[in-house]
Amino acid sequence: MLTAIDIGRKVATFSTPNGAAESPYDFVNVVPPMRAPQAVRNSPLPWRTGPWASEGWVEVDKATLRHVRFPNVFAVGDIAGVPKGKTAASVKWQVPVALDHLVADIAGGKSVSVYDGYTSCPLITQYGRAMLVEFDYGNNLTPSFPGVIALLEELWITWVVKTIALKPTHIAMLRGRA
Amino acid sequence: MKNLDPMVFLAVLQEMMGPLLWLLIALAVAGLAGLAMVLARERRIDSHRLVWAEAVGLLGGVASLMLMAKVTFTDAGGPVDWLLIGVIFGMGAAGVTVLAYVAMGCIKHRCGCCGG
Repeated sequence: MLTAIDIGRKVATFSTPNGAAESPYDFVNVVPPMRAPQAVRNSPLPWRTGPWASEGWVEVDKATLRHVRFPNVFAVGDIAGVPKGKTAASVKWQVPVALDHLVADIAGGKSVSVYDGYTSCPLITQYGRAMLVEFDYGNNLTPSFPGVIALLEELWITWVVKTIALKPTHIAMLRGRA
Repeated sequence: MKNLDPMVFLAVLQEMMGPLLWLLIALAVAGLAGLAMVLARERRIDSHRLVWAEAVGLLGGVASLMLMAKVTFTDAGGPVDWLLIGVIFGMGAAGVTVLAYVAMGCIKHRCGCCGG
């Protein structure tokens, strides 16, 4: 785990089983520790074993998003303890799956909807260019616009989507309209 | 995107442009309605006027691209980028051509679009 950064020397210090270890860097991207909100961590919902137990993400089946121990509980979005998908695009794909299972439960039927781990990361690569990177649990590329937007191509259209369309899309999602 | 639902598209555009979206839609509807009225009244296409309208329309296309460049940095990287630039130019050009044709038709009859 990262314990210190010396900006002057450009050295990051990590705690390791063998003690502190220094690592030089040219560019460093620090991801702060993330965990579920207290209400969820203190509930019976989180994973009880494995890497997510200490972070408190909800123990759901990664394909159905249904809780492993409480079949009437589903988790979508950041709170879901699944291997991918802490993005708005994931939520957009997860909600219809969870909803389908809920509706099927209420109707007394069974849903076959599956969330394949779809997530999308528009990566800005330079001013005016971005790559649309879409992939699933298996890290297979899953292009939404095959033949139109090549996933690993640096494109202006992806920059346009990233810079002017994504924030409004997220807000429209929060309003329940997208 | 999972499903390209037109209502989702509308919601995002509304979030993006706010009241400007309704202004543009109103302008488009008014342009088409005006075109229908001008055509109905004249019962023909005035080719001389159409050429002038198209010339103004080209300026409209350029203005659309300038507006886009103002909104965000514009520089094509791949084929689909050129396609988008073409669509933006085309929509601006077509819209302004229609509006110019209608406006010139109205001026000719010195009456605005809804008079006799």
